[in-house]
Amino acid sequence: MSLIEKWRSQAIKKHIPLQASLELTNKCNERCTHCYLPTFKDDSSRVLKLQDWYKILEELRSAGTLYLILMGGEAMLNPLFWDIANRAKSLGFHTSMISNGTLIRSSDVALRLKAVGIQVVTFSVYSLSDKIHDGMTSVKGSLKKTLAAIDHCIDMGVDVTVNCLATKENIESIFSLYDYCLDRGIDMKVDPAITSKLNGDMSPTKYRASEKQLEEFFKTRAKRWKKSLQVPVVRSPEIHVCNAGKGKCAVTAYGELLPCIEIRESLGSLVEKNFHELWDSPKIQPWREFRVSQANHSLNEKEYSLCDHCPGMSKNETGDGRTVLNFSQLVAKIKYRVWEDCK
Amino acid sequence: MNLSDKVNRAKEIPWQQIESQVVLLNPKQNMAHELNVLGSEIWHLLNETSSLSVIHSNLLKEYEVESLQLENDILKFVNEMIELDLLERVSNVSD
Repeated sequence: MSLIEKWRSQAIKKHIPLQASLELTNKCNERCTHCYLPTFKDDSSRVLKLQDWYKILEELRSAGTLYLILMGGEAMLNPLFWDIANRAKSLGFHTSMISNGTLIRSSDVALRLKAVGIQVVTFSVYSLSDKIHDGMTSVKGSLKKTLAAIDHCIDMGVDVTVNCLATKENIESIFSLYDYCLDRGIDMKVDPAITSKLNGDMSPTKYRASEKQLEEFFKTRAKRWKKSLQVPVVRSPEIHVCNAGKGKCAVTAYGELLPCIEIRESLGSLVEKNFHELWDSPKIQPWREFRVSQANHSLNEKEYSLCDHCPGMSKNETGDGRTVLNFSQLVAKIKYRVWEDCK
Repeated sequence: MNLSDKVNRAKEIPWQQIESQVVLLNPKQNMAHELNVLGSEIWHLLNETSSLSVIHSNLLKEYEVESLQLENDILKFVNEMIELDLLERVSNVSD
């Protein structure tokens, strides 16, 4: 077990939120068709002041958080972004950011990110085709800006990773994006999990890739990189489904503490209360105690072991965190079939 | 290196106290480090002072240990941390 795995497992066991995601704003300068945010603006009466963010950072620091993820919306649209990042650095966090990169318009901005302690920027890129990427973000020219931002960050020594959501629009073009990332030594993750909006609106789910597209994608990937093939390892019914409310937490743009970024049940305001008043409250217990044996699905044990069951997504979409989404079950079945074919 | 030297924590080192120990991330080397109890105490004291002699006298009050043994332990720790770019020696004006 590596040192980091050891801390992670210790954090989960002792409910130390080693990782915290901060949604600095709901505002965004893109309009991604698949996005889970119902609106792209902030309620001005609830926007936090700098002192509120400082208090939140200090609370997280005392609670044991080491890894801080700044996100949005588009995190850099919060006018306090630089002050918040700078404070995080002085408090000793390892800070990363999820961004579309459109505001990293020059090497100077990338250098400034480095100066305020941003160690890693994870960019959302959907395709190397303008038509596909810009179509998904609904902003013409957005791919060009994002790729330029990646170059600025690499040039200035800021680590870069890429997240790509696989949809029916872009799934056939993902391998050229893989090649682009491989050429530049960039880690890239692909995820087909499109969820409903936080208000239950199911419209984003119409962009989910089809069964045929997903099977083709996983097969091609397994043929290209045998290591990408996920091996089914049956999970004990007693282990926890996820790390929510144990080794990680999240904070909304209004300072509400969440068990994780996907579980949108507020534990209370981190501006008004201290971390442990909220983190140790009875509200969090059902999420914290959620085990494999409690999940509702029709998968066999091996298929379930390949299933990315997210209780938060399930709760938003079906009203019950235990119900494994049909789409997640479909993806797990496809992964299992591909494993059988390619092992 | 001796107790008259001064050192600072290296800038931009993310760290956290987990239970009784301090853990550090060294982004330059993509490495994680776990400090033992003495190392963790020194790391905390370095928030208040750069002086190794002050750190030595503070720890001597706290632990039942021979002065020379403690001095050796502190210097060994500090040297290793400088080697790993986790501590920085403060330039002495007279150097």
